[in-house]
Amino acid sequence: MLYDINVKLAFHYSDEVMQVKNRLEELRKERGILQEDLAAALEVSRQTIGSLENGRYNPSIILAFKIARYFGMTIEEIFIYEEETKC
Amino acid sequence: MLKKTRFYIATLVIGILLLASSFVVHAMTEGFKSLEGVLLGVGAGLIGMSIANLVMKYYERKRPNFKKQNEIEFNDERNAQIRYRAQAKAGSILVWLLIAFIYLLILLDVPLWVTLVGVGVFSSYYILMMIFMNKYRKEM
Repeated sequence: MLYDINVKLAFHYSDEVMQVKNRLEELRKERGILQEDLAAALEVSRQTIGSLENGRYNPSIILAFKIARYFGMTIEEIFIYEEETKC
Repeated sequence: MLKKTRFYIATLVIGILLLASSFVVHAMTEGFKSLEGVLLGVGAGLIGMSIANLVMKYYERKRPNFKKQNEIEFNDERNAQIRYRAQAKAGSILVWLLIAFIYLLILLDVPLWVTLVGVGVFSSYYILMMIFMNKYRKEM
């Protein structure tokens, strides 16, 4: 599956760069859902949805499950964890 | 924190009692100015806080959506993280300010017990931190 990755969160540990990317904005827009409605469905604030979408915040595993269930997908289909070694 | 209405009614009653007792102390005794001031200050503070929260509770009862939104905002995991990080940061800064204050007390040549109280407060920060770290290590 080809991911249209629009969000990157990077963590630096020694020489490794760990990134968590997500497709939340893409999936939400595909379904024509407003941030407010998604926030209400997941029982989080609208700002949290905004932060998740622009990559400033990584969700807890519980919120990740809630998001996955809401979209009827697996966590891996929405959140992508990558490890890269610094050059 | 989201507390129940009964809690704020109790704090309101305690505040009124403290305020009333400050007037009693003022009328019946002499030379208890500091006690009078403490009772008055704490009583007035509790009354103010309780009334503000009771008004909020009344508003929430009138508008259930507002209450629900408030609960979501309070329990939101990102908001909770922001709150905890801000509290931790403020606590760390407060410790440095306390150290500066203790040095100021030494420079001002205040009685030794005052400085020792400051050192005690400073030490209690680290003692409490160790206690909570131990607690959370067992829980997590």
